[in-house]
Amino acid sequence: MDIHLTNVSKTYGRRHALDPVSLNAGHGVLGLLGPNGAGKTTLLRIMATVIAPTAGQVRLLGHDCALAAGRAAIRRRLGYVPQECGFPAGFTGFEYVDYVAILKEWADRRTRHDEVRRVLAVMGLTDVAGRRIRRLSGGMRRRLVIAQALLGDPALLVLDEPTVGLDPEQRLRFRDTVSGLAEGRSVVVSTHQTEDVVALCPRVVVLHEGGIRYDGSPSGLAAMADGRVWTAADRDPGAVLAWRSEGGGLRQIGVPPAGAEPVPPTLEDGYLLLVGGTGERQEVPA
Amino acid sequence: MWFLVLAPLVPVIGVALAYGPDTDPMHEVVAAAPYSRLRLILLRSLLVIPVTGALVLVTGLTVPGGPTMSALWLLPGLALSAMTLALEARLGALPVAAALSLAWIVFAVGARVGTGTVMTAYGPAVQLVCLTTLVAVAAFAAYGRHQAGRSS
Repeated sequence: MDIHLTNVSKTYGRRHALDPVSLNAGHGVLGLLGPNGAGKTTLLRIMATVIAPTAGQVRLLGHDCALAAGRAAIRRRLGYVPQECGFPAGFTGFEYVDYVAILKEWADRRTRHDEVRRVLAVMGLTDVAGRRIRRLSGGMRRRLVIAQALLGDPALLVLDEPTVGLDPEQRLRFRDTVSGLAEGRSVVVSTHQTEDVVALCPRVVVLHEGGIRYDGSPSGLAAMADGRVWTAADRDPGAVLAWRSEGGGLRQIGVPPAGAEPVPPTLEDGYLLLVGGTGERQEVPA
Repeated sequence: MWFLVLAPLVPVIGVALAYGPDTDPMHEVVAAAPYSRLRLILLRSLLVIPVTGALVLVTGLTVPGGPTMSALWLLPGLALSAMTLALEARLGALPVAAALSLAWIVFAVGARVGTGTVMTAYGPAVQLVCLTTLVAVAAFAAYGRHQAGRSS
């Protein structure tokens, strides 16, 4: 197992950002879903060794995060895309990735520059590498941050909402890239996009109010809404959520009225029911 | 008086602004990189301290008191900067810099009120304490780095 978390929690003063969470994961893509403030970013920052947990044990790639030597060893094989990332004023795209490469201990200038060019090419940024970052679009900047995470072919990729700011085509390209990267390494992706989870992740974890509420397959999460999704012309009293669907009727989730015709649920339906429901942890084998 | 109270704090503010989540736009990426945090902070401080130091030295030459007074703040400033660097990893650069700055201002103003001159805050005993602090922090940092090197 590349990721081994045991009763990991985090508090900021009196605020509990993360309740004790245990999670194991090996090679492949693990999707993290959850509303804002659910604890996703806190969990990912712990996995990226940026912050230490308040309690619990974190072992990544066989190393203990509590030890300085362990953290250094993990960081040498880690790629991290933070949720929010600023850029040094005046840097070009190439200089930015080159700077991160230096921080990742690529000492030899020639091999480092080759590697910088490689990851920029992977993210389709070769043509704009010499341009100042402030002149790049939001999507290009996001791809730049993803590019730096790919330096050195990391064994563990921690991606916090990597597709924010990407247009639909770029998101599809990103999925293609991550699908290819998932071979032989561990990738953890936090996202609000349920379509990304369906496309990328054989396993999904739903975080809500600092705890794990679901851990299993995307189809299992969708199945939790079996019989609880229906369409009708008007909103029914038992609906937790309702929205206008393609056919013109209201797609509703919750407790259907007698006689309502259930429709096949999606991952989004299961997720919405879960985070709007009781919050009990559900486990479905992947 | 205010020049001598505030001059040692200029390098401290420079060091505090050189690293940390509040001031470094790339802090998250930097924090997840294997490059030694201490080495990075020291490298940035090597750039910051000469610039801020030169600034205060030049300003010191323009205030009454002569060239000797314009350099008196140097050791206290370096000692406060070294302590900021040493405590940054545990408490964060800005809180440490703020606490040390406040402590220094209380000390310097207290010396002025108690003895009638702020020069008391720059006496030989204080300069010796600052030099000792500087050497101790440097030795501690070198020892910590040596230990980290042995365990990795």
